[in-house]
Amino acid sequence: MCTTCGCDHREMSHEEMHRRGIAHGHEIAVEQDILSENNRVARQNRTRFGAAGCVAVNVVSSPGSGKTTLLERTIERLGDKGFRRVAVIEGDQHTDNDADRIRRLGVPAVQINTHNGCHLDARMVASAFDELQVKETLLFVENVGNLVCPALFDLGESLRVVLLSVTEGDDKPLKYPYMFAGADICVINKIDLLPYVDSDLARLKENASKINRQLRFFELSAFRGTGLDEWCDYLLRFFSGGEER
Amino acid sequence: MHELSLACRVVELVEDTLRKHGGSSVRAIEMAIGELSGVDHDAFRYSLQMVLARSPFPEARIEINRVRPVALCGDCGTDFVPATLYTPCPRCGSYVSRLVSGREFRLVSVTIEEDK
Repeated sequence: MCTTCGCDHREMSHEEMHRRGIAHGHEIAVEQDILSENNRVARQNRTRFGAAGCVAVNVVSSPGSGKTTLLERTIERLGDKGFRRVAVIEGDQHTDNDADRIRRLGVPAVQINTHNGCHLDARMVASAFDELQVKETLLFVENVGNLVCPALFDLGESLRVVLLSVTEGDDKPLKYPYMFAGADICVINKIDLLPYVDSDLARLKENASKINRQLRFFELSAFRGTGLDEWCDYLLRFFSGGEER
Repeated sequence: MHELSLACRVVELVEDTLRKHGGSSVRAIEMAIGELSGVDHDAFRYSLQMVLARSPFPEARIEINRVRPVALCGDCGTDFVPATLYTPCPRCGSYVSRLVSGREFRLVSVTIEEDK
């Protein structure tokens, strides 16, 4: 095989083929990161969010960990604390159900349906943000319920929160490490069910910390309201710039 | 299956390259994929084959170079090959390490066909 282009003309040099006008291949060095386009749009999003005084929080988890319930209860509790500048971008394969749940609380929400897609990407979030037209707002992005694919896609968020419920087992971080490697916060949900399941909270945190030493934990039950104050106070401090992630 | 959307993006990049360099078709697509990139090699190859079959260059050969991960221990400075994102340092047992390679997911080169 020709070492210049990988074509099958062994007997002839690449230059010779050029001279004789023989069809052949040219190897073009591209060296481009496949995720670079998404990362570029994510950077744009980050700049736009910042310019509009918005802080975006990307919430990722398996299906059924309680993302929408956490958002509902968080919105209510933030409201109790006098903070109402919240908006939500909802990602699901199908249905507007989650956005409807959020709108019932009087909060603007845009639903993205990914259809066959398994994650949100930066471009989808950019158009949803256009639609929302919000300023000075804490913007939650509820990603598609999936602990694998969303890990690779930066959306332009300032904070990535991985939500995990105790019913999923304390070894879940080890089974799906990429999501935990890229997160800033791990919210452990459904702690009211701890007496009924085999999960050990200390072991769960230890497992997640093996992957990501910087991970910060919140333990709560969105359903019962336990631990919501600490979580909401943290969000308020982070929104006002008084808290590192 | 994020591999399918990634494969679509690769084919877009290949089309861009072909357009920019004015070739008639594509002979080979060379990728570098780290073993800890979060991209499944087999699923990606399968997805890329499917997308290529519907592209203007269905015959293009796919070459995937696997990149072996290397981590650097933050405590004792040993470099080692981690099997996972949470493999401890084999020398001191620390979990504080930095991955210096193994997360690559890159289109390395495109071999285009030229008529003359």
